[in-house]
Amino acid sequence: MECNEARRRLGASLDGADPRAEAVRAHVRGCAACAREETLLLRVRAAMGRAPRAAAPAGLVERVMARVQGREAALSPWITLLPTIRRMAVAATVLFALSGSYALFASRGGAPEPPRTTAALGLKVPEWSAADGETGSLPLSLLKGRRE
Amino acid sequence: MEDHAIVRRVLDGETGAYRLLVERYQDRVYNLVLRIVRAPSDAEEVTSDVFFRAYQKLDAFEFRSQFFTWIYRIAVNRASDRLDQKKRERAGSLDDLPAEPGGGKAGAGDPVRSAEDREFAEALRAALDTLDPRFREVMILREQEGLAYDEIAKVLGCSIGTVESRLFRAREKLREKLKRFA
Repeated sequence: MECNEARRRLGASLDGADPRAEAVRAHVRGCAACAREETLLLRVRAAMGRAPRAAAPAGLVERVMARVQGREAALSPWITLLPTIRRMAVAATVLFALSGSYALFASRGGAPEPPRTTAALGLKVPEWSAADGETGSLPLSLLKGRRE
Repeated sequence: MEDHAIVRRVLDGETGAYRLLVERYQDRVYNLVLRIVRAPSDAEEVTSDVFFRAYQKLDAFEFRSQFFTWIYRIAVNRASDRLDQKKRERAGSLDDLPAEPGGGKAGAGDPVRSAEDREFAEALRAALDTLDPRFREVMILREQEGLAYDEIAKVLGCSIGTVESRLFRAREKLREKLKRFA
């Protein structure tokens, strides 16, 4: 192995991450210049590794947990209301589905009830339904905007 | 109790269980952040933010990874953001940096060695300060935190190849700066 390759692989070799680490070692044993490079890298590692590890500041856990609990407290009214909101959402969905079904049913001419209801109120509305012979679609007269 | 089990408890609504994770990792996260931001007051604030942010994002935690690499990633990102912010504010003043990354106890008991080590540590500190943050982070994670390449890759959100490349370049730059010690 040449010096260039050995130096290129030196760091990874010291990390145990170079597949040719053995060859690098063999080269370094016989090459003073590369041995100096290796010593320098090891010195960097030693100096960085010697850096004292500080303990986390006292009270850090309490401060973090206070923030966490504070967030939960801020969210809690919504969390309490969540089941109610969920029930209301379900009810709204059911209502929407029912009204949609009714509208579809009515548009196909199968809804005689509305005229009866409006008649009970004394209003006169056109009778359009299966009697018009146009089941399955709106009466042409309505589409044209004419009253019968 | 394993980290993943604690995370599950928290996600199931047992908020208090999060304390176990904070207690378990507060020193490691604080030290990592301190090595990046270097000012203890900033490190404390950032560490608190890291744990709070991790809590907020806990439902995004993927159980395929280890909790500590996940929170380290948040820590590196938050610390780097803080460092950038401080640099912009103070235009790179180094006033409140610790005296030396190697600590003050190097070579204790041998005055000559001690002086040499202090000089080396001071030169190393200066050299590390000149590194691109990406290179400095990878050196910290490898040489000070002792993480394996694959762990560093997860923390930094990059490939193992990128880790190898950054480490190589970081060491090359340090070697240039420190060649008088070779």
